[in-house]
Amino acid sequence: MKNTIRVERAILDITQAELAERVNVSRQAINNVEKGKYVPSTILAIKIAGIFGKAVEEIFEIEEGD
Amino acid sequence: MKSTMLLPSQFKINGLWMSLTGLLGMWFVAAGGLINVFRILVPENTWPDGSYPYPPTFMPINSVIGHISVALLIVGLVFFFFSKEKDEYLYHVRLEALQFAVIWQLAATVLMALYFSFFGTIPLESGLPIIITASAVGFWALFTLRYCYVAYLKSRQEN
Repeated sequence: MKNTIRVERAILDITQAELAERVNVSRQAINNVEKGKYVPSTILAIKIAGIFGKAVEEIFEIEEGD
Repeated sequence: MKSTMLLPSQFKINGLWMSLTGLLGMWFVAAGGLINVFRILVPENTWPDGSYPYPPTFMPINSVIGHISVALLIVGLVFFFFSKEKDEYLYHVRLEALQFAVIWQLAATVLMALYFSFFGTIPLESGLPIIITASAVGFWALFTLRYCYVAYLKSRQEN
């Protein structure tokens, strides 16, 4: 699953650690979600999208094979 | 297991440090490291040949340190394994580490059994305690190392 977290973080000018703190998870979790190595739960995805003020499907995009 | 039965997540890192301190204490006691402390504190007791007599308080103090170390190790492991993870990703890592440890434990157990069956100098029945102990210790060691590596070291290296 692709995502635009890195871009959105750059727009808001926040680090992975700051985003992690806002959604109450570890920095490792954000790092792995951002790199596409870990698919977050619905709750975490909604929280992340909420921080960027966007809908979940604007942040996360399903790839072929998912 | 219900997550409400688990300890708060802050216990995890404290448990890890307690376990390591306990292991260090056990090594210290087993290696007779305390005798060197006596050597420093009461150097005049050293014999002419350089050896040092065991003072009467050595064994009781060594025993207390040993008991404290074992308690630290046990309580630390309980804290480490029975505390909540900070988030869902770490739960995922824990599950993955568990699967990793189970697979390698099984492989190692089979290999050890084969070794004792075909190449061992002692019969398989006599080697069973060694296999079982190594298998159990190996499982927890692999689980802990894999969890710590993936959760803390690997993501730090990737940054």
